[in-house]
Amino acid sequence: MHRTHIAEWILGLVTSRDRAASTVGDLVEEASPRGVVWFWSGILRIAASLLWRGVAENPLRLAGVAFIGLAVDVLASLLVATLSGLVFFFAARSGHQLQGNSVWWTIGLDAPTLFLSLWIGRMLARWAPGGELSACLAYGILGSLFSLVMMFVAPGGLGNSALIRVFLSDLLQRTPVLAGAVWGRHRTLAAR
Amino acid sequence: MAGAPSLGEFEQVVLLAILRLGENAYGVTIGAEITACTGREPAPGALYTTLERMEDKGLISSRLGDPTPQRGGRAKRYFILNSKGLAAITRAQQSYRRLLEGCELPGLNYA
Repeated sequence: MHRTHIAEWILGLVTSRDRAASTVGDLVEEASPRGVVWFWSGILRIAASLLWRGVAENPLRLAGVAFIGLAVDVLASLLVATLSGLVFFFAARSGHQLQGNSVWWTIGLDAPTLFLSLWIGRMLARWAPGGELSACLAYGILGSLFSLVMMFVAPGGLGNSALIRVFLSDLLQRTPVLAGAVWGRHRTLAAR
Repeated sequence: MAGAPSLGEFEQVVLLAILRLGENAYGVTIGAEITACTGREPAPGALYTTLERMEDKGLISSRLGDPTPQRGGRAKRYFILNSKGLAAITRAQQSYRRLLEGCELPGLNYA
């Protein structure tokens, strides 16, 4: 059954491969009378529970790892913003008119941001071997808290819609970080 | 028994279920035993996280059985109590028993 391999892959992200295999085996055994929905909700609940266990058992260590990741993120974002500002400045001085909303400009800004997020995810995984995705979760929580604090420190259209916008954009920005952490997890497993 | 780790309520329930099942304690039977004895079905997330945590703490250990087609070719992971786990559950139950001594509960007599 193809679906069980996906389930095993999901659990393998948060626990050892043999534990993931035996757990999926247990759920397959119980799933025949209970159905597919029960099987997948079981897989997701176990994965979430194991993921949170990683954060709950090493909160200080993972907070430290997440803080370093966030500091790198903020510094690199400032660097990208400064560089793009310089490009605009020199282009304006030499008489060129740059289109800030052009496709190439968007790609030029988004590509380094995407690469940076992937790299941060990879670094989080390297700094927290065995708890790669828990480190990513800690980074996500700390990043969201940081965004909220920044909203109150420098309010720009503070309100429910702004809060939702910040939450959604944070979620989108964290996706490449998660991909980087998953990549790091696979590297850890391959090295064993 | 000094030095045995303190246990949460659900950890005690899981350890007692493993103890009752003997050689046949794996995820499915442990869950079924808990449901049969307590009337509450354990959440899969809570059960497997607790098993993993207790194994990491050295309270229980596990061995893999043979793969079966019924489970998609995956092996069962059988759990047994280690001496540390046995000491911890004994101490926890002794504490309960001391607390119950002299209490009058409907249907129970520990006086």
